Amino acid sequence: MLMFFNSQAQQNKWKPWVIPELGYLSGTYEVTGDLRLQGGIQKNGWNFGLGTGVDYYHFTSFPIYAQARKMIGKKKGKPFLLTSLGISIPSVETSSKTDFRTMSLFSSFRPVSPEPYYYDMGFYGEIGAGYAFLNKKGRGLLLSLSFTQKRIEETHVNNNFAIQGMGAPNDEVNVYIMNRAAVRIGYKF
Amino acid sequence: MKNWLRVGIILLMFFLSGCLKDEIKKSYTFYRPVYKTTEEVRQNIKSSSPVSIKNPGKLFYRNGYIFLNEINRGVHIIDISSPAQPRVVAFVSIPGAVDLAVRSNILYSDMYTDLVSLDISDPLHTKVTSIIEGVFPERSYLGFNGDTNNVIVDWIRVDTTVRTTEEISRVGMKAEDFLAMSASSSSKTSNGVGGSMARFALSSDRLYTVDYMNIKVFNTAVAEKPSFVKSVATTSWNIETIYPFSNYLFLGSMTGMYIFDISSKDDPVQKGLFEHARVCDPVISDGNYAYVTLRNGSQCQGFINQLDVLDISNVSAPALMKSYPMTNPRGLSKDGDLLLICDGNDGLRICDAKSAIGVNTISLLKIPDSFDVITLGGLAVVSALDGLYFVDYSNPKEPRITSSIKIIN
Repeated sequence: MLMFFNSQAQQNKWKPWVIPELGYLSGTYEVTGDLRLQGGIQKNGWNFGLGTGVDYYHFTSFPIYAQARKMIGKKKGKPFLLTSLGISIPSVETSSKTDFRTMSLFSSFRPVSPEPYYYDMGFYGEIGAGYAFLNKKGRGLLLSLSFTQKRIEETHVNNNFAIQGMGAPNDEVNVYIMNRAAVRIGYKF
Repeated sequence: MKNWLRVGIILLMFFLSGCLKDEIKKSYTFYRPVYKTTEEVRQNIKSSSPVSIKNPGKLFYRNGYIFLNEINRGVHIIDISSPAQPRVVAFVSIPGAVDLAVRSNILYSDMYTDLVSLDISDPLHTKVTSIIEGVFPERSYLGFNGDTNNVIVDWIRVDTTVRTTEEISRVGMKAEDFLAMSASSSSKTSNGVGGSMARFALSSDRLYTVDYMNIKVFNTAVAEKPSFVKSVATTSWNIETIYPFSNYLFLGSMTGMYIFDISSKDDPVQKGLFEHARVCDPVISDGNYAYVTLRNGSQCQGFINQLDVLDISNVSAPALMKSYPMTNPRGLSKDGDLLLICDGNDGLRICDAKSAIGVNTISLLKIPDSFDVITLGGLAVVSALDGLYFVDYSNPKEPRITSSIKIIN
């Protein structure tokens, strides 16, 4: 009886956790990776925490997010569900791209260096599931598979038709919505 | 474990369902052309009530009047007989007008692919004297000019948002790049005075125009009825400006300055070339030296902002005398020993250029984003992004803005 109450007390007590993770990201732009570190508190199979990392997909960015995981079952090896919500901060604020633009006026192509592109933060989210191989102390390896989305907003002052003498320069806003599959391996401390 | 399997299967379906396509939500503006018939447009090429200046281009001076291009719309006629009180007195609607030049009482302007000649002997009652069709084929708008019976006279702004899975390709060019292609003149008295950003140049009784690769020659002996003579190919593919002096044409390109001999008026022959790094470079000359401003910029690339002074006593082998660092120099003009340079946000730089190896700044007049200047013996007309400025530089140490005409957007 005493052991039962002791066990119940332990389960009802919030305990800290930390998970460093290495990820493999696959989307239409490329196959690349990310590194994440998240930590928080846990009780009764619920894990709540905050995380950050480096996401190298298309635009290198730094996600900052809140995360929730639910461990299912009471065995040492157990599946879990996870979700993350946050923001994705681009690694650069501006960049200048050199590309070939059609110069309609002169019926020819020329390389030009257009106005800089400005980048701003966007949504970061994830939903997935995994399997945890934990020891008695609750430490061990985690494997997960998730769908993750990051968004980066790109703004560019576009003077295209100012040349006509008819229009004014305008901002061209591109919101990149990057949907990736992520396979991750981590270790829970 | 069954639950776990269920979750795994759902996730697998999720990944295979094509939900992983990257998307771009693109919000942008495009302009839809408005057409008028060629006949209607030609009937309207005449002086009408003045309109506000919105998008100024190149300018030309002749007999107390400034002819200022309104990009792709026409020409403003500005009476500066009293420089302290300039007045916009008329506007001539010429759709597609970008370059201009004035000889005697005739103003030459492009109208998209055509060359239009206008009698401006009475600036308030201008009239078309001739139109040469199709001489500037490079000025056609790909995909817009459906046939020769229609002319684009306006553009309607359309804002839109689309979702695409493609990487974005960008189309177009900057307004200021366009301004780097302007009109100019020789020192002949029958011809007007133009800026250094010109793409039209008058020398003797010939009009020379440049596109990116060619010089076109027009015979203007009968000023009101010019005729197209020929097109001469150059070895450059990125000519920006043309400046005539004596028997030579000085062509500024992004990669160098070309000198063409026009002793035989209809047969320009390349005599010299001075190559430099890839930058934009308007050029002028006083016969002994050529003054080339090199600047970086969105179209020109490069990282150089300087004034190069070249010895052209041997036109076959122009030699660099000295380079002077600048901020972002554009158009320039020389009046005696004074050299006036539009130097980006620094404004109008007035230099003592008595010695080619000792060009010194005498004064700097704040006119932000100035891009071209013409000098009229103590009075400089400076075009800038926010308007046209009239500067009295009779005392070069203390130049002053006597008046200005602001752009209304």
